[in-house]
Amino acid sequence: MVEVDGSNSIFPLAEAVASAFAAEDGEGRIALRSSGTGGGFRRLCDRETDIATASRPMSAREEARCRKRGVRHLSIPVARDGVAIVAHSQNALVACLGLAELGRLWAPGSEVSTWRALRPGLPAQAIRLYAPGSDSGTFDFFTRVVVGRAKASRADYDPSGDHETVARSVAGNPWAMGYMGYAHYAANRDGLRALQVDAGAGCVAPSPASFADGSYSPLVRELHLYVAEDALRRPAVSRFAGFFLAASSALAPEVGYAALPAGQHARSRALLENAVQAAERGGS
Amino acid sequence: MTRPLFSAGGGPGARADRVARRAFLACAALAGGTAAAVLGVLAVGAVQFFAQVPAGSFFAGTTWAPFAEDPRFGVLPLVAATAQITLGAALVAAPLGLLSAVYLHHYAGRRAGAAAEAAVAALASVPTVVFGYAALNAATPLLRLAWPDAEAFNGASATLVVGLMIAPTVAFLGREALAAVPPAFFHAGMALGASRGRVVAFVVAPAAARGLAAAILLAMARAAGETMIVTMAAGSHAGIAWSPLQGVRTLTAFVAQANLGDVAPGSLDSHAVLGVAALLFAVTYAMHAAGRALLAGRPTGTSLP
Repeated sequence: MVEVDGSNSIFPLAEAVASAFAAEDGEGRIALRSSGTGGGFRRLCDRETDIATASRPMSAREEARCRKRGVRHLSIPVARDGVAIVAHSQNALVACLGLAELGRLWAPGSEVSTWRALRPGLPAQAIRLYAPGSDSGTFDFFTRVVVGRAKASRADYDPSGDHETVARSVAGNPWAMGYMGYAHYAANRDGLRALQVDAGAGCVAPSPASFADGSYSPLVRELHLYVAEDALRRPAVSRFAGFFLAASSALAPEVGYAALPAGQHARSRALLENAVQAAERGGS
Repeated sequence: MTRPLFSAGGGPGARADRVARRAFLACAALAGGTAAAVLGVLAVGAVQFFAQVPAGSFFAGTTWAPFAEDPRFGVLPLVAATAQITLGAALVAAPLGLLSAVYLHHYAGRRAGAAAEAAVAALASVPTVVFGYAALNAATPLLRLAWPDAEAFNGASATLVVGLMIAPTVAFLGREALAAVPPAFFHAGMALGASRGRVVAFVVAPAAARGLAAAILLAMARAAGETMIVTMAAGSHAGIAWSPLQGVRTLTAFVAQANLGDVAPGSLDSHAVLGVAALLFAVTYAMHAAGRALLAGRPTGTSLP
């Protein structure tokens, strides 16, 4: 049994990979959870999971905690993902938001509570905000990029443990706005509209293509597998990690991500193969 | 040789008695010990929490954002949500439950009564996760047909379904309260020529008032502690929701959601979870105690009040 826990953003990909793995491998059993990137890191360092999926790098504090517990791990990029800004499908007020507008909206203590305060000329309806909770890597990533500091966010939004709930909430309120991993938007398009984002070079819509060529940056990020080195000694774990990386090239664009560029993919593979060999030597 | 039914000391019966007494004592001690341990954990957590967060900002604050960079521990939104769900559920369950109790005790024939009782018992045995699913996927869509402004996760759907969930508690405890009224009251009323409805409304119900109120209070304690339905269907709004059509987050829903992965043991967050749990325990315990006090004080036996 391979235990995989962590990012909710990567979950649709992990699910697709795990079912492909089950179809091909037969004997390998995968237990998938999504406690959020932070939760996955915590469980990795508590030796409760073999692989932590992550939508942001491990923080210095998390690294220190892992070291203290003697859990060595390696981090393997597997795909690229974008964070989608979503509104209700009937909301035609705004098609594109500037990064600065998003920053004003989401800053701690933000006074932007209506659409008109966001942009003059829009109705004075209250904006209802929905987003992943504070244990989410998407939350950390979004706040770092948009507000400028990880975890710096206004507090009066409705946090959810998973992106599906964000999607459902935004689809249920014409005046709502939220953000989530693009793959979750792709799986729940009904009632939702992804807004374009203008980071200074014009409005760009989120899509696997704009993640691949980087034009949706800075809201593009890498998704990682963090694998415990001890666990790599188990063939099931190393086999699944290798399969995850290899299968992501084809599966990622299907479920709403972009595959890694070829050079980076090769680097990830080398990283994993070296670690597996080192683990086998250490284990024998 | 026949074994005596009652033995005065000695003999195999006495040994069985001793064993049984010890076994029962162990069971009682286990229950008591568990309760003491839970209370201890809650108390320690609450003390640690209030050492870091002033009680004033906890009880009077209107923003609950414990995981924010600049955490806020104003518990009023959670209390308001729990109050909304509990009182709303009581408004749903009290008429349903009390009328069911009156029907079961005073009106139903043997067959119809058995059928009605089976129906109420069936409602009582629905798992809360099924109720939660129903709140999210049946009650909410229906509500949104009537009020399109209702959000996808809202307090009203959860309130309605929690009300249905606790209605059997009101019905069964209410029936017991009616059954505890001396039959002489009922017969005296009927002998005076009053209709059954009038006797129930003006003689039996007032005599059973304490028991009926206790039934509602004990059911409300269940509603206040209900977790699954509100976690699934009521949302996670951080502020006070002034409309039942908006999302709300109850005390219980916060504790459930926080423990899905957000909380590192020993952190201020984990103390906040215990602080909220302690408050929740105090609320439900007080409701239970009030319900039991009402039951203890009601007239019993055949003596006239």
